[in-house]
Formats: sequence, C-alpha cells, structure tokens
Amino acid sequence: MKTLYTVFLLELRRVFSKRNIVILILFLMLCLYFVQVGIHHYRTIIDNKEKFLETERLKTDLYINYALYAVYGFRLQFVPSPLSVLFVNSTVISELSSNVDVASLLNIYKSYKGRILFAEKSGGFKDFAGIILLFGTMMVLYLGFETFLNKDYIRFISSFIQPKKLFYAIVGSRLLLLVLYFFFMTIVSIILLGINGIQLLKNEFNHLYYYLLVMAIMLVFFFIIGLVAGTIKSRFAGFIMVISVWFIFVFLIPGVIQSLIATSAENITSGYDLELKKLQAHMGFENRAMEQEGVLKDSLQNTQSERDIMESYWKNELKKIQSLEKNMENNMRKNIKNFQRMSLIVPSSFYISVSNEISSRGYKNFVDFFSYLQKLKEGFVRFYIDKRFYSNFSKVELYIKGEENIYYSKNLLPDYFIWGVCLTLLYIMSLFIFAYYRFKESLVI
Amino acid sequence: MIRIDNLFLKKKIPEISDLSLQVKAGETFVLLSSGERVSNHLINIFTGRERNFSGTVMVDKENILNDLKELRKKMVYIGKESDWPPVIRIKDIMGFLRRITRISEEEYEEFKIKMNLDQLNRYRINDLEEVEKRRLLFSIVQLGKSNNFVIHDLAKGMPIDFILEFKENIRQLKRKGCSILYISDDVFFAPEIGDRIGFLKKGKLLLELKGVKVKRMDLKELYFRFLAEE
Repeated sequence: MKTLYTVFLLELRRVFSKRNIVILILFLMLCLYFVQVGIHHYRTIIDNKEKFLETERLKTDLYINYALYAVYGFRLQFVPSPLSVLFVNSTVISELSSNVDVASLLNIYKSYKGRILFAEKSGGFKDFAGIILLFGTMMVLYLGFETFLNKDYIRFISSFIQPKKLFYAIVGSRLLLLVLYFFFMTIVSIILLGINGIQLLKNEFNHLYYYLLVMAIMLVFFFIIGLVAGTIKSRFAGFIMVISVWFIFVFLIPGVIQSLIATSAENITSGYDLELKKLQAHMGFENRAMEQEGVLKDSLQNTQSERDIMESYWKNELKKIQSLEKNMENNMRKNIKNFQRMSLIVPSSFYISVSNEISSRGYKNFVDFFSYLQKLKEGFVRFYIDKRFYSNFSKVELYIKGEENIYYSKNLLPDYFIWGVCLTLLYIMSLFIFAYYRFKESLVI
Repeated sequence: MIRIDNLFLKKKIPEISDLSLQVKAGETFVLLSSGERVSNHLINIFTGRERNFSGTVMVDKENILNDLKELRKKMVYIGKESDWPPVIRIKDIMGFLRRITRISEEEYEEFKIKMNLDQLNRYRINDLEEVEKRRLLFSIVQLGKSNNFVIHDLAKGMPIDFILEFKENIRQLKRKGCSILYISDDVFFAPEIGDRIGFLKKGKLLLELKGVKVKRMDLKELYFRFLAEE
C-alpha cells in the first residue's frame, strides 16, 4: 500500500502536468458543451410534443364521421428518454413520426421541413458519447503510451521497487486517476441536466450505470493498448502504433460492421414491396365487398351483411397485412441481432452498439416503436369497425384518449450485453498480461 | 556483503561466463569490462530485471532470485539514467526516494539543509545539470538503510569537484561497513576508489588485483590488454 501511495504521488504529478490539465479541462468543456446541446435538443422535442398533442386534438375534432377519421387516422410521435441527451448525434434515430389509419399504409417518417432540415444528422460524433469515443479514446491511448515512455526513469524507479509491484502501482494509479476523471465528468454532466430541469428516473440511472461500465472498460482497453505501444523501443514506432490502433478501432472496424450489416439488410423486404403486397390484400377485400354488397354507403343504417364483410376483413385481410408487417419486423430484429453480435468483436463497436440502445434511439427502439404502431393500428381498426358498424353515432369519438399517440422510447440494452462485457474484460486481461511482459522486457538494458 | 558464484549468462554468445567474486563489508570492488553490454547484464541481474542465469548472486546472504523485496532493503543500485519525464520535480523524486528508502524525518530535514533542497525543490529534475542530478540522487540513497551499493559508472565524465566528493562519500560508506560494487570501464579511475579491481574480458574474470597494486602498474597497458575493444 505504501508503494502504491508513493508511486501514486509521482503519477499524479505526471498525469496532471500543466499541459495535461489544459487538455483535460478542454475535453471536459467540450463534453459539457455537447451535453448542453443534447439538453437543448431534448427540450425542443418536449416542446414540440405539447404542440403536436394540441394539433392532433384540434385536427381530430374536425372529423365529421368515422369514415374520414379512418382514412386520415392519427399521427404518432417518437419521444426519446431524457438520457438521450448524452447520445443526441451518434445514434440511429434522430426524430420520428408516424401516421396510423385503417387502410393498408403505415408511414414512419422523418420530416425535413423548416429548421429540422438544418439539424445535425444522426450517426456522427457530436455528442457526449461520440466525443468520448473520438477524443476520449485518443486521450487514454496517449495516457497509456506515455506511461512507460521514459525508459531511464522507469528503470531508475524499478531499481527501488520490484518490477511486478511497480507495474501494478503505475498502471493502478493511472487507472484510478482515469476512472476518477471520467466519473467526475459524468457527475458534472448529471448536475448540468439537473440545472436544466431534466430529472433522470431510477431506470434511466440504471442504464446510465451500464453505459458508464461499458465506457470504462472501453477506455481501459485503449489505455492498455497505449501501454503496450509505450514499451516499444522506438518512440516513433510506438506513436505510429497508437495512431493506427485509434483509426482502426474507432473508424475502420465499426465502419466495416456497419457496411456488412447494410449488405445483409438487403435481404429484408423493401418498403415498396411490402406496401404493394398490402395494397393487393386490400384491393382483394374491396373487390370481394363490391361483389357481395356493391359500394358501401356512409349511412347510419348498418346492415348485417356489411358487418359480416367487415368482420371477414378483420379475420382475413387484416391478419394477412399484420403477418406481412410482423415478418418485416422479425427480419429487422434478426438483422439487429446480427449487428449486435458482430459489434462484440471489438470494444469500440460494442460501445457504439450499447450507446445506441441505451440512448433509447437505437435499432431495437425503432422496432419496438414499429411493434407499438402495429398494436395501435389493430386497435384502431377494431375501434373503427365497432363504432362505424355497431353503434349509432352522432359525434365522432376519438380513439386516442390520452397520450397514446406519444411513444415514450425506453432505454434498452443490446442483445449479448453480458457477452460483450465479458469479451472486453477478456481482451483487457490478455492485453494486461502482454503489457506486463513487454514492460519487463523494456526494463532490460 | 555481495557475493557472486559461478554466474553464467547464456545468450547467443556467452557474455558472462563463470563469474565469481565477493565484496566484503567495508570494501569497494571495481569491476572493469569493456563496453556497456556486460555491465548492463550485471545491472539487469542486480535490479531483478534479468533472472535467466545460472549460478548464485547473494546480497547479505539473500539469494537475488528468492525475494526481490528483501533485496531492495539490503541493496541500492544507482546508475546514470538520464531520460526523465519532463514534468517530474526534484521535490517529487526526493519525496519518492525518502519514502521508499525509509529515511527518517530528522535525517531528511538535515539532508534538505545540506543540499539546499528548499531552493532546488521547485525545479524540475530535467532542469538540473547532470552533475547536480547525480550528486543529489547519490546523496539521498546513502541515507537509506542499505549496506550494499551497486554503482554504475557514476563518476565517469564528471567534473573534479564531483569526483572528489564522490570519493569522500565512498570512504564514508566503507567506514560504515558498506559493500560497494562499482561497475565501470574506466581503468584510470578504478584505483582511486577500488580496494580490489577485477578485469572482465569475453565474459570471464581474467584478473583480480588489489587497488594499491594497480596504482603502481602501467594503466595504459592494462587498458589495452583488457578493456580496449578488439
């Protein structure tokens, strides 16, 4: 313990040199700036949500009968969790809306009208999580790299402390400082959320801890690679290794995974194909109805035969349409699983995959939104049939009573989360042992 | 006491072969070898970095391969390292050495006054001249509890005032009963401090002479016979 404390004091001096303090403060400021950007973005969504609810209420008041209501339907808005302020730019989904009607179409879209046209596009690095991936990894790689860079100094120290103890003491001290710094940064970010009136719930805090765990192990992984690079005899070769590792892990591998997933997604039925099949099912129903009843009149007299036709639609065509949608959903889920499995390969891609889902703006969140829409649509069709064909209405009653047309996206974890953590820990352990042997070799004159 | 028995270090070419020597309490043994390779191997062995050798190396009856922690208490190595992190201040490294070598508060206060540390503390170690750096480091390690010193060519290339001070320090250590193994390639300085001087060539200890005898010999001839690179 005494050795650790003695070495810790030296490392404290080395890590918090004037130059490093400037870098650490700049990094902290940059992260806080992007948290603030995220907060602004989230607040805009919440403000828009109120306006959206009001607009929907007014719009549906104008429907004079259920046929109109059925044709135009209602809109649905996707609202991410407050934790998404940390992931506003680097995730899959930025803003989503949808329209639900009783017809065959189901639209999920992103509007580009007005200021949204100029908003940051998703998939970048301009948020807290992105900055950690882009600059945080670079910073810890360098921190690891310079640990054993001054060989004479390390040799001098090692003549007073046994190599094994020295290695643990130096690496332990730096890891402790690293964890404390990033922990401090997260605390400040949470305080910033509080100041801006955004409170995280228990579930969001739990997911924040998962995120911090994955962030910490990713940073430790990069730090240990830096350690290994620092033990290379030639400083230039070590530096080149650091730059190459950073580029490969932050850009190349995640890019290749994304590209492979895009290729495998080619197998999923296209949106147009699905719409065509659904339209065909619908047309089949309309033709059958025409043959049996002629044109359905929008009168208050509901005949038994009309009801039978609509019930046959409920039992046949709607189920067929739903199975087509379900099939697409399953294919999407399969591809997401594939993406999440491939992302386990390196800690940086695992971090991206975890950030996506924890943010509540990831692939799984989209599919859950899609699934929620299916349920709403089924309910809306039943509501329409019941109201239009089984009751004598005088005024159109709304299907959406409260905020069901607001989809509050949940923070999720990707599949194979535990596997990802274990694999990263395994990488860390292996690299740690390798770094120790490299360190011992580098001590020999 | 430092004792080496039948030390073999088998690399591609045997660089240390059947080396045996003993440095008694209150004695200085200067081990001369040409070039840095052999001396580096010995330093690696004494600092526990190289453990792949045969034979025994004992410090105060403690086998170097057994317990490095105990060894650190009994022996101090001091060399001429020069690549220091630019941010390390004198205060930091002195604090480190004080804690690690278990120097008492009183001794350290005395040392601070003697070396004018309050003035120096604000400087970074890299700001010091090499001679100042060596003086400071050698002075503080002498305060520790170790009775055995392995020194690597600390006086080489240093000005005369440092050499005089260094010789005085060695005399004091000997008076305290310390064993000193001085590893060098400087045949002209060796008789100045060495009670006994050993000449290593091609990994073997070819000649061992008393320091006073070497003083009377032709040092140039000894140099060309044992230390000049072939």
